[in-house]
Amino acid sequence: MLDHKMTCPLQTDNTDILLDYCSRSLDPDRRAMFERHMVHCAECRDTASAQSEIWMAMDAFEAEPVSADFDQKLYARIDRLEHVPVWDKFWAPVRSYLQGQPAWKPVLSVATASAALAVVFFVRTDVMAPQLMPAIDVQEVVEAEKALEDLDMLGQLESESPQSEKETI
Amino acid sequence: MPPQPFDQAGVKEDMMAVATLERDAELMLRVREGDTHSFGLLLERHRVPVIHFLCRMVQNQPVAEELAQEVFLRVYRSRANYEPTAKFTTWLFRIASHLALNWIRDKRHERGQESLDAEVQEGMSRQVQDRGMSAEQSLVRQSKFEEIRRAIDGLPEKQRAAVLMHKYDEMEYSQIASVLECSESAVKSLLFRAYESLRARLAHMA
Repeated sequence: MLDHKMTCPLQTDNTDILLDYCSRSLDPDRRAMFERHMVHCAECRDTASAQSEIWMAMDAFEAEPVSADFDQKLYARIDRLEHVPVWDKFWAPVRSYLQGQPAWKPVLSVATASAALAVVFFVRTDVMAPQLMPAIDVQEVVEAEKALEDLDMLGQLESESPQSEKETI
Repeated sequence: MPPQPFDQAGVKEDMMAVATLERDAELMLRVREGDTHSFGLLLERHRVPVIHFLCRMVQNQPVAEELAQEVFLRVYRSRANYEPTAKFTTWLFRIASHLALNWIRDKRHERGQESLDAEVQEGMSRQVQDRGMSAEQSLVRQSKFEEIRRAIDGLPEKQRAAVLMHKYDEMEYSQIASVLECSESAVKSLLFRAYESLRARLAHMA
Protein backbone atom coordinates (compact mmCIF):
# COMPACT_ATOMS: atom_id res chain seq x y z
CA MET A 1 0.00 0.00 0.00
CA LEU A 2 1.04 3.57 -0.64
CA ASP A 3 0.12 4.98 2.78
CA HIS A 4 3.23 3.74 4.60
CA LYS A 5 5.50 4.74 1.70
CA MET A 6 4.40 8.38 1.66
CA THR A 7 7.01 10.59 3.23
CA CYS A 8 5.68 13.24 5.57
CA PRO A 9 5.03 16.48 3.60
CA LEU A 10 6.04 18.54 6.62
CA GLN A 11 9.35 16.72 6.93
CA THR A 12 10.18 16.92 3.23
CA ASP A 13 8.97 20.46 2.62
CA ASN A 14 6.23 19.27 0.25
CA THR A 15 3.80 21.65 1.86
CA ASP A 16 1.82 22.04 -1.36
CA ILE A 17 0.14 18.71 -0.53
CA LEU A 18 -1.20 20.28 2.66
CA LEU A 19 -2.14 23.48 0.86
CA ASP A 20 -3.96 21.58 -1.86
CA TYR A 21 -5.65 19.32 0.66
CA CYS A 22 -6.98 22.28 2.64
CA SER A 23 -8.08 24.14 -0.47
CA ARG A 24 -9.70 20.93 -1.75
CA SER A 25 -7.76 20.99 -4.96
CA LEU A 26 -5.74 17.82 -4.36
CA ASP A 27 -6.42 15.15 -6.96
CA PRO A 28 -8.37 12.12 -5.67
CA ASP A 29 -5.40 9.71 -5.66
CA ARG A 30 -3.07 11.98 -3.73
CA ARG A 31 -5.89 12.99 -1.44
CA ALA A 32 -6.55 9.35 -0.51
CA MET A 33 -2.82 8.79 -0.02
CA PHE A 34 -2.49 11.84 2.22
CA GLU A 35 -5.55 10.85 4.26
CA ARG A 36 -3.97 7.44 4.86
CA HIS A 37 -0.73 9.18 5.89
CA MET A 38 -2.60 11.40 8.36
CA VAL A 39 -3.88 8.33 10.21
CA HIS A 40 -0.28 7.76 11.36
CA CYS A 41 0.99 11.37 11.41
CA ALA A 42 -0.47 13.55 14.14
CA GLU A 43 1.49 16.63 13.03
CA CYS A 44 0.03 16.56 9.51
CA ARG A 45 -3.42 15.79 10.91
CA ASP A 46 -3.36 18.80 13.24
CA THR A 47 -1.91 21.14 10.62
CA ALA A 48 -4.40 20.07 7.96
CA SER A 49 -7.32 20.35 10.35
CA ALA A 50 -6.34 23.83 11.54
CA GLN A 51 -5.55 25.13 8.04
CA SER A 52 -8.82 23.76 6.68
CA GLU A 53 -10.69 25.69 9.35
CA ILE A 54 -8.76 28.87 8.48
CA TRP A 55 -9.51 28.28 4.80
CA MET A 56 -13.23 28.12 5.54
CA ALA A 57 -13.17 31.02 8.00
CA MET A 58 -11.64 33.21 5.31
CA ASP A 59 -14.91 33.03 3.40
CA ALA A 60 -16.18 35.63 5.87
CA PHE A 61 -13.84 38.21 4.34
CA GLU A 62 -16.26 39.32 1.67
CA ALA A 63 -15.43 42.16 -0.64
CA GLU A 64 -17.79 45.07 -1.10
CA PRO A 65 -19.81 45.43 -4.32
CA VAL A 66 -18.21 47.55 -7.02
CA SER A 67 -19.43 51.14 -7.39
CA ALA A 68 -22.06 51.58 -10.09
CA ASP A 69 -20.12 54.40 -11.74
CA PHE A 70 -16.79 52.54 -11.96
CA ASP A 71 -16.94 52.05 -15.74
CA GLN A 72 -18.18 55.59 -16.32
CA LYS A 73 -15.24 57.04 -14.39
CA LEU A 74 -12.80 54.76 -16.23
CA TYR A 75 -14.11 55.70 -19.67
CA ALA A 76 -13.94 59.38 -18.70
CA ARG A 77 -10.27 58.90 -17.80
CA ILE A 78 -9.64 57.06 -21.06
CA ASP A 79 -11.34 59.88 -22.92
CA ARG A 80 -9.09 62.42 -21.20
CA LEU A 81 -6.10 60.24 -22.05
CA GLU A 82 -7.08 60.19 -25.72
CA HIS A 83 -7.31 63.98 -25.82
CA VAL A 84 -4.19 64.80 -23.87
CA PRO A 85 -1.92 67.49 -25.39
CA VAL A 86 1.08 66.17 -27.36
CA TRP A 87 3.70 67.67 -25.03
CA ASP A 88 1.99 66.08 -22.04
CA LYS A 89 2.20 62.65 -23.70
CA PHE A 90 5.99 62.96 -23.53
CA TRP A 91 6.08 64.40 -20.03
CA ALA A 92 3.49 62.05 -18.45
CA PRO A 93 5.65 58.86 -18.51
CA VAL A 94 8.55 60.74 -16.93
CA ARG A 95 6.25 62.20 -14.30
CA SER A 96 4.62 58.87 -13.50
CA TYR A 97 8.05 57.19 -13.32
CA LEU A 98 9.32 59.82 -10.91
CA GLN A 99 6.15 59.58 -8.85
CA GLY A 100 6.71 55.87 -8.52
CA GLN A 101 10.26 56.37 -7.27
CA PRO A 102 10.22 57.43 -3.61
CA ALA A 103 13.99 58.04 -3.71
CA TRP A 104 13.47 60.76 -6.30
CA LYS A 105 10.96 62.71 -4.26
CA PRO A 106 13.46 64.47 -1.94
CA VAL A 107 15.79 65.10 -4.92
CA LEU A 108 12.94 66.70 -6.83
CA SER A 109 12.02 68.86 -3.85
CA VAL A 110 15.62 69.99 -3.43
CA ALA A 111 15.96 70.68 -7.16
CA THR A 112 12.73 72.68 -7.18
CA ALA A 113 13.80 74.66 -4.12
CA SER A 114 17.24 75.32 -5.66
CA ALA A 115 15.66 76.47 -8.92
CA ALA A 116 13.33 78.79 -7.03
CA LEU A 117 16.26 80.20 -5.02
CA ALA A 118 18.28 80.71 -8.20
CA VAL A 119 15.40 82.57 -9.85
CA VAL A 120 14.92 84.74 -6.76
CA PHE A 121 18.67 85.45 -6.60
CA PHE A 122 18.89 86.53 -10.24
CA VAL A 123 15.73 88.60 -10.08
CA ARG A 124 16.91 90.30 -6.90
CA THR A 125 20.36 90.92 -8.39
CA ASP A 126 18.76 92.61 -11.40
CA VAL A 127 16.46 94.66 -9.20
CA MET A 128 19.22 95.57 -6.76
CA ALA A 129 21.79 96.33 -9.41
CA PRO A 130 20.82 100.00 -10.04
CA GLN A 131 20.69 100.63 -6.27
CA LEU A 132 24.02 98.99 -5.52
CA MET A 133 25.82 100.77 -8.35
CA PRO A 134 25.47 104.56 -8.00
CA ALA A 135 24.97 106.52 -11.19
CA ILE A 136 28.34 107.59 -12.57
CA ASP A 137 28.50 110.49 -14.99
CA VAL A 138 31.22 111.29 -17.52
CA GLN A 139 32.65 114.10 -15.43
CA GLU A 140 33.34 111.75 -12.54
CA VAL A 141 35.09 109.33 -14.87
CA VAL A 142 37.29 112.10 -16.21
CA GLU A 143 38.10 113.22 -12.69
CA ALA A 144 38.94 109.68 -11.67
CA GLU A 145 41.27 109.33 -14.62
CA LYS A 146 42.96 112.58 -13.70
CA ALA A 147 43.35 111.41 -10.13
CA LEU A 148 45.02 108.23 -11.36
CA GLU A 149 47.36 110.26 -13.59
CA ASP A 150 48.16 112.44 -10.61
CA LEU A 151 49.00 109.42 -8.54
CA ASP A 152 51.24 108.08 -11.31
CA MET A 153 52.98 111.37 -11.52
CA LEU A 154 53.39 111.46 -7.78
CA GLY A 155 54.90 108.04 -7.91
CA GLN A 156 57.35 109.13 -10.57
CA LEU A 157 58.23 112.19 -8.55
CA GLU A 158 58.93 110.17 -5.46
CA SER A 159 61.17 107.79 -7.37
CA GLU A 160 63.06 110.66 -8.98
CA SER A 161 63.49 112.88 -5.89
CA PRO A 162 66.44 111.01 -4.15
CA GLN A 163 68.47 111.24 -7.32
CA SER A 164 67.78 114.95 -7.62
CA GLU A 165 68.71 115.39 -3.96
CA LYS A 166 72.01 113.51 -4.53
CA GLU A 167 72.68 115.67 -7.54
CA THR A 168 72.16 118.83 -5.50
CA ILE A 169 74.43 117.51 -2.70
CA MET B 1 -0.12 1.38 -15.93
CA PRO B 2 -3.89 1.01 -15.51
CA PRO B 3 -6.04 3.16 -17.78
CA GLN B 4 -7.19 6.34 -16.08
CA PRO B 5 -10.97 6.86 -15.80
CA PHE B 6 -12.18 9.49 -18.20
CA ASP B 7 -12.90 12.60 -16.14
CA GLN B 8 -15.46 14.26 -18.38
CA ALA B 9 -16.20 17.13 -16.00
CA GLY B 10 -12.49 17.84 -15.56
CA VAL B 11 -11.86 17.87 -19.31
CA LYS B 12 -14.81 20.19 -19.82
CA GLU B 13 -13.44 22.53 -17.14
CA ASP B 14 -9.97 22.49 -18.74
CA MET B 15 -11.42 23.21 -22.17
CA MET B 16 -13.41 26.10 -20.76
CA ALA B 17 -10.30 27.45 -19.05
CA VAL B 18 -8.33 27.25 -22.31
CA ALA B 19 -11.20 28.91 -24.17
CA THR B 20 -11.25 31.71 -21.57
CA LEU B 21 -7.51 32.26 -21.91
CA GLU B 22 -7.70 32.34 -25.67
CA ARG B 23 -10.69 34.63 -25.50
CA ASP B 24 -8.83 37.12 -23.27
CA ALA B 25 -5.84 37.21 -25.60
CA GLU B 26 -8.10 37.46 -28.62
CA LEU B 27 -10.04 40.34 -27.09
CA MET B 28 -6.84 42.15 -26.18
CA LEU B 29 -5.53 41.70 -29.73
CA ARG B 30 -8.75 43.26 -30.99
CA VAL B 31 -8.29 46.15 -28.54
CA ARG B 32 -4.81 46.56 -30.04
CA GLU B 33 -6.47 46.92 -33.45
CA GLY B 34 -8.65 49.71 -32.05
CA ASP B 35 -11.79 47.78 -31.11
CA THR B 36 -12.99 49.52 -27.94
CA HIS B 37 -15.97 47.17 -27.59
CA SER B 38 -13.53 44.33 -26.86
CA PHE B 39 -11.98 46.43 -24.11
CA GLY B 40 -15.47 46.71 -22.62
CA LEU B 41 -15.79 42.91 -22.68
CA LEU B 42 -12.42 42.49 -20.95
CA LEU B 43 -13.46 45.04 -18.35
CA GLU B 44 -16.75 43.23 -17.80
CA ARG B 45 -14.93 39.94 -17.33
CA HIS B 46 -12.14 41.08 -15.00
CA ARG B 47 -13.45 44.17 -13.23
CA VAL B 48 -14.80 42.41 -10.15
CA PRO B 49 -11.87 40.03 -9.46
CA VAL B 50 -9.37 42.87 -9.81
CA ILE B 51 -11.29 45.24 -7.55
CA HIS B 52 -11.92 42.56 -4.94
CA PHE B 53 -8.26 41.57 -4.94
CA LEU B 54 -7.21 45.20 -4.52
CA CYS B 55 -9.86 45.80 -1.88
CA ARG B 56 -8.57 42.91 0.21
CA MET B 57 -4.97 44.02 -0.38
CA VAL B 58 -5.30 47.69 0.58
CA GLN B 59 -8.39 47.18 2.76
CA ASN B 60 -9.98 50.39 1.61
CA GLN B 61 -12.74 50.29 -1.00
CA PRO B 62 -12.34 53.80 -2.54
CA VAL B 63 -8.57 53.32 -2.82
CA ALA B 64 -9.08 49.85 -4.31
CA GLU B 65 -11.37 51.25 -7.00
CA GLU B 66 -8.96 54.08 -7.74
CA LEU B 67 -6.11 51.57 -8.15
CA ALA B 68 -8.32 49.32 -10.29
CA GLN B 69 -9.00 52.29 -12.57
CA GLU B 70 -5.25 52.71 -12.92
CA VAL B 71 -4.86 48.98 -13.72
CA PHE B 72 -7.35 49.11 -16.59
CA LEU B 73 -6.04 52.44 -17.75
CA ARG B 74 -2.54 50.93 -18.00
CA VAL B 75 -3.91 47.96 -19.91
CA TYR B 76 -5.59 50.32 -22.34
CA ARG B 77 -2.48 52.50 -22.66
CA SER B 78 -0.31 49.44 -23.37
CA ARG B 79 -2.63 48.00 -26.01
CA ALA B 80 -0.40 49.00 -28.93
CA ASN B 81 2.50 46.90 -27.58
CA TYR B 82 0.45 43.95 -26.37
CA GLU B 83 1.75 40.50 -27.33
CA PRO B 84 -0.03 37.39 -26.02
CA THR B 85 3.14 35.92 -24.51
CA ALA B 86 1.67 35.38 -21.03
CA LYS B 87 -1.79 34.84 -19.62
CA PHE B 88 -3.81 38.03 -19.73
CA THR B 89 -4.86 37.57 -16.08
CA THR B 90 -1.23 37.14 -15.02
CA TRP B 91 -0.40 40.46 -16.64
CA LEU B 92 -3.48 42.09 -15.15
CA PHE B 93 -2.79 40.85 -11.63
CA ARG B 94 0.87 41.75 -11.94
CA ILE B 95 -0.09 45.35 -12.60
CA ALA B 96 -2.66 45.22 -9.81
CA SER B 97 -0.28 43.73 -7.24
CA HIS B 98 2.50 46.19 -8.16
CA LEU B 99 0.13 49.10 -7.65
CA ALA B 100 -1.20 47.68 -4.39
CA LEU B 101 2.26 46.93 -2.99
CA ASN B 102 3.48 50.41 -3.93
CA TRP B 103 0.42 52.00 -2.34
CA ILE B 104 0.94 50.02 0.88
CA ARG B 105 4.64 50.96 1.00
CA ASP B 106 3.97 54.64 0.28
CA LYS B 107 1.24 54.70 2.89
CA ARG B 108 3.53 53.10 5.44
CA HIS B 109 6.14 55.76 4.77
CA GLU B 110 3.62 58.57 4.99
CA ARG B 111 1.88 57.58 8.16
CA GLY B 112 2.35 55.49 11.25
CA GLN B 113 0.75 52.09 11.27
CA GLU B 114 -1.72 53.12 13.98
CA SER B 115 -3.33 55.86 11.96
CA LEU B 116 -3.37 53.59 8.91
CA ASP B 117 -5.28 51.00 10.92
CA ALA B 118 -7.80 53.62 11.95
CA GLU B 119 -8.31 54.64 8.34
CA VAL B 120 -8.57 51.06 7.18
CA GLN B 121 -11.20 50.32 9.79
CA GLU B 122 -13.09 53.37 8.65
CA GLY B 123 -12.74 52.40 5.00
CA MET B 124 -13.96 48.87 5.59
CA SER B 125 -16.63 49.57 8.19
CA ARG B 126 -19.33 49.55 5.55
CA GLN B 127 -18.25 46.09 4.54
CA VAL B 128 -20.57 44.00 6.62
CA GLN B 129 -24.05 45.41 6.50
CA ASP B 130 -27.32 43.81 7.43
CA ARG B 131 -28.38 41.46 4.69
CA GLY B 132 -31.59 40.19 6.18
CA MET B 133 -29.79 39.07 9.35
CA SER B 134 -30.73 39.53 12.96
CA ALA B 135 -28.73 42.07 14.95
CA GLU B 136 -26.91 39.27 16.76
CA GLN B 137 -26.02 37.42 13.56
CA SER B 138 -24.85 40.67 12.06
CA LEU B 139 -22.62 41.37 15.07
CA VAL B 140 -21.11 37.88 14.99
CA ARG B 141 -20.46 38.20 11.27
CA GLN B 142 -18.99 41.68 11.73
CA SER B 143 -16.69 40.44 14.46
CA LYS B 144 -15.54 37.44 12.40
CA PHE B 145 -14.96 39.66 9.40
CA GLU B 146 -12.94 42.06 11.51
CA GLU B 147 -10.78 39.24 12.92
CA ILE B 148 -10.01 37.87 9.46
CA ARG B 149 -9.39 41.35 8.08
CA ARG B 150 -6.90 42.17 10.82
CA ALA B 151 -5.16 38.80 10.50
CA ILE B 152 -4.73 39.23 6.75
CA ASP B 153 -3.66 42.84 7.22
CA GLY B 154 -0.96 41.63 9.60
CA LEU B 155 0.67 39.43 6.97
CA PRO B 156 3.75 40.70 5.11
CA GLU B 157 2.61 42.24 1.79
CA LYS B 158 3.89 39.49 -0.49
CA GLN B 159 2.37 36.74 1.67
CA ARG B 160 -0.87 38.69 1.71
CA ALA B 161 -0.93 38.99 -2.08
CA ALA B 162 -0.14 35.27 -2.48
CA VAL B 163 -2.87 34.20 -0.04
CA LEU B 164 -5.48 36.44 -1.66
CA MET B 165 -4.72 35.14 -5.16
CA HIS B 166 -4.68 31.55 -3.90
CA LYS B 167 -7.80 31.70 -1.77
CA TYR B 168 -10.09 34.13 -3.55
CA ASP B 169 -8.93 33.99 -7.17
CA GLU B 170 -8.09 30.26 -7.16
CA MET B 171 -4.86 30.87 -9.02
CA GLU B 172 -2.33 28.10 -9.57
CA TYR B 173 1.10 28.31 -7.97
CA SER B 174 2.76 28.91 -11.32
CA GLN B 175 0.49 31.87 -12.04
CA ILE B 176 0.98 33.39 -8.58
CA ALA B 177 4.72 32.94 -9.13
CA SER B 178 4.51 34.83 -12.43
CA VAL B 179 2.48 37.63 -10.87
CA LEU B 180 4.85 38.02 -7.92
CA GLU B 181 7.92 37.40 -10.07
CA CYS B 182 9.32 34.61 -7.94
CA SER B 183 9.73 30.84 -8.21
CA GLU B 184 6.92 28.36 -7.75
CA SER B 185 8.63 26.84 -4.73
CA ALA B 186 8.95 30.30 -3.20
CA VAL B 187 5.18 30.76 -3.65
CA LYS B 188 4.44 27.43 -1.94
CA SER B 189 6.69 28.44 0.92
CA LEU B 190 5.10 31.91 1.12
CA LEU B 191 1.64 30.39 1.19
CA PHE B 192 2.43 27.78 3.81
CA ARG B 193 4.00 30.39 6.08
CA ALA B 194 1.07 32.73 5.52
CA TYR B 195 -1.53 30.10 6.41
CA GLU B 196 0.50 29.13 9.45
CA SER B 197 0.59 32.79 10.55
CA LEU B 198 -3.15 33.06 10.03
CA ARG B 199 -3.63 29.86 11.97
CA ALA B 200 -1.66 31.33 14.90
CA ARG B 201 -3.52 34.63 14.76
CA LEU B 202 -6.94 33.07 14.43
CA ALA B 203 -6.39 30.10 16.74
CA HIS B 204 -9.12 31.33 19.08
CA MET B 205 -11.66 31.19 16.26
CA ALA B 206 -11.10 27.52 15.51
